[in-house]
Amino acid sequence: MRVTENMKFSASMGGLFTIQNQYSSLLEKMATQKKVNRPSDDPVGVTRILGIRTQQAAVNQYQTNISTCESWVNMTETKLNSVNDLLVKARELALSQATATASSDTRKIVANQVGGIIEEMLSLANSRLGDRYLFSGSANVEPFSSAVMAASVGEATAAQGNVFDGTVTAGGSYTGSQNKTFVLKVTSGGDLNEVKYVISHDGGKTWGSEQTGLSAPVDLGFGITLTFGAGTKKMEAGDIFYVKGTAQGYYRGNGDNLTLTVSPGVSLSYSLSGEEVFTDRGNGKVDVFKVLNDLKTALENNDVDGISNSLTGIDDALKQVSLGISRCGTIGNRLDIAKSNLEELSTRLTSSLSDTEDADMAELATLYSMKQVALQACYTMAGKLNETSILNYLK
Amino acid sequence: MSIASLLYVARDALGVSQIGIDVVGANIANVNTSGYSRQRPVISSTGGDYVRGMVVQTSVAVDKIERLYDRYLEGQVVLQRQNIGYSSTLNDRLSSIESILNEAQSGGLNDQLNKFWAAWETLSANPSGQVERDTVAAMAESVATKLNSFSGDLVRLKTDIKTSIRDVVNKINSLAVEIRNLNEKVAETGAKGGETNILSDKLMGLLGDMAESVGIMWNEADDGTVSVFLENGIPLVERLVAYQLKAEDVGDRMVVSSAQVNPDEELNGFITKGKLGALIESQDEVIPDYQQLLNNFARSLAEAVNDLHHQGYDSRGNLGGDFFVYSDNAPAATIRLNPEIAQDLRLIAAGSTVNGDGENAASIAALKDELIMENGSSTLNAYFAAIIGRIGRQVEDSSTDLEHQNAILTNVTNRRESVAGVSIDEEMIELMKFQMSYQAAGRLVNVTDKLLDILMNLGVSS
Repeated sequence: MRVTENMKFSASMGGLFTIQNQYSSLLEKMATQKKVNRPSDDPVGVTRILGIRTQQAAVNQYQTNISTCESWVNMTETKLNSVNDLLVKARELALSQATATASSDTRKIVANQVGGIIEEMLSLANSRLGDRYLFSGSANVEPFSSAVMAASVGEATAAQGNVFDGTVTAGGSYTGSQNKTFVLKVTSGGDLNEVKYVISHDGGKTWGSEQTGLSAPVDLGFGITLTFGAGTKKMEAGDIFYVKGTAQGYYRGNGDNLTLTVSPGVSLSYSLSGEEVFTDRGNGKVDVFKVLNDLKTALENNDVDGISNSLTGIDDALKQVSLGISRCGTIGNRLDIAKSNLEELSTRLTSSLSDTEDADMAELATLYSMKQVALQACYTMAGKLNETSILNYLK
Repeated sequence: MSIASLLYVARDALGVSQIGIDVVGANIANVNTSGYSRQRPVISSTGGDYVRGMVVQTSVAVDKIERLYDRYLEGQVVLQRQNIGYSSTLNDRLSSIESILNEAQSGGLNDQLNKFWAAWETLSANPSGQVERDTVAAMAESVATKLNSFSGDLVRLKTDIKTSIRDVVNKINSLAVEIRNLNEKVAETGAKGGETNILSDKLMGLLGDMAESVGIMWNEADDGTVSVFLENGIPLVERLVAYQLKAEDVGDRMVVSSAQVNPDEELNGFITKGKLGALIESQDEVIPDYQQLLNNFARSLAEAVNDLHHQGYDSRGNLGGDFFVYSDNAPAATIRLNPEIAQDLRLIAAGSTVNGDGENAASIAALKDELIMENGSSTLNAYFAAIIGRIGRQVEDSSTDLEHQNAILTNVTNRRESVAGVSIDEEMIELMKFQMSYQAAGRLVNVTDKLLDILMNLGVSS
């Protein structure tokens, strides 16, 4: 094969370019400490990297959620312990006044003390974490009132984004045993008599069957009625009206628990509702405030039987609160397990991310000196190109 | 044969040697000229005379100056330049898309999306929190903005490509005219019996330039003129006639067609090689492909979030409206947070009841794990990661292809060079050869002169 000048020069130039390319890509990897600097460096790897980053972000969020849950549960547990102490104290007082040694005078004094206990209990039951009440269920309202509230039907509320501008009033008397939010959702608009609607008893999660006509008062169930008066604008699908039914007692909140996702696909109910801890509704067995107020009344009235009776109530209340405390413990355990799983997962993710995207410095350094030698050789060769010519031997 | 005729022989010999040196000079001068084929004088003796019954070769002449080249290899170089033009241009455009979609570093859409999901999750823990609502809105906006900017960058890239298509078409047209003009010269020179060597080299160079711009077929007529056609036979040059291509902007793409032959026929689908082939592929396939993927992603994201958002209650007690708004023909370019929500954060439907819980926000956050893409086989995040993987793989493939094509070009060029290239060593030896023959011929003149001198002085007493 004939070898021409162009071949020699272009071969030496091509060699230089190739090595300089490899050299600069090595330098980039050393500078960024990453072996994947753009998708084409490792197309499969980059997909994996993105997947791992997504998982990491999720793990971080779960960890944040867990610490939110933890502080909630810890706070709940602390408050319930205080509730427990108060109940124990109330029990001691009741016990001391149930005997014949006590007099109506001592009972009056103790009645005052019980009044103090009730106030403290109220402030515990209305505790907040941040701007949310610990024991109000999913409704963010002050959960307990100091006095018994009669069963009531709240104000009918038209949602602010409704098209309908007529009037809506709630009527009837509430017969339900739990606090509920009733929702009426318009599914097909028009004049009042032709409007189609559905009703929900749980704040809008589940719906009953579709009904027609709102010109007459509508029975929402549990004794509540809604009466509509036509306005200038007709109803449209999506208009929403709601009304709260509050059962007789001290509690304004509802029976829902708060949930958060603590690991992939696992959502954890982390709150205890006031309903199950302090009332005899839903999952609750005994109304703590009623028991204490009954005790107070019995003490004031010097009613020894009443005092003795309330002891059973206090015992039941203590059981109910202990149950709550132990549930806090259970939730805490689940959080601990989720947390340690996440920590392990997080470590695994970090190490596989590092395997995929981090450069191996030892390897890079070795490659770097290899390329350096090759580059030097190329330069030396290029410099000597002119020496191998017949011109050097012609005089 | 006379002594005097020896002078003529010497004159011819001197002339031939001088031509030899001229040719060597031309070769040395063109040692760095690309596409130059080395030349050699073809020397032969001129007939013979009968001298006392024997044939004596009398003199020497240069028959022609030969161009040393291999037609097959020249053709290979031209063909390979089509592949190089295609591969390097495609690699270039794909790398541009890659740098638009570079998610290998953090801070890209993937990360924004993760933060978006996290914001919903945080909102679910505190549905009434202003800060939490604000974060959801802000993250939604940054996801949307990122998609808008991807989409905008792709559109800009496409506009650049359209301009490049017009430029390349103009270049093809001017090359066609140049080839036609050169054809004319080749034909004229050939007809006059002249040497067309240099012109042929130039012609091959122009063909190479043409091939780099667009895939071609060509043939060479007996007189050395060439005709050039596109891959589907549309002529660019037919010997002494040059044809023109035209590039018309029809909205979002550039359509190439012949200005003279079937001007209504779109040629985009037939041009698959050269720079133009790569540009058309980028314009008509690659970029629309990524636009489509991003649109799918944006639409699915918006639809999935909107669907759930419709089922939840906002803090005013109403069912949620659209969370993202977009126009259906270009979701990625137009997706944005519903401006009503941006105005009034209470409209974020975090609750699954009118009581102000955060369950709907949790459901929306859980979308990140739901297999809503690719007929239920992929999550939104994974779908996007696959887009990134895809551009990565395309760039990797095209880089490998470019390297491969370059290696082939080097190989073919070396083989061509080996036949047609100039070697200084060789030329120096040729130079010595002709120098020596020139000296010898000069000596012949000298000797002839002496012989004549002797002859003239015959019989003259000294």
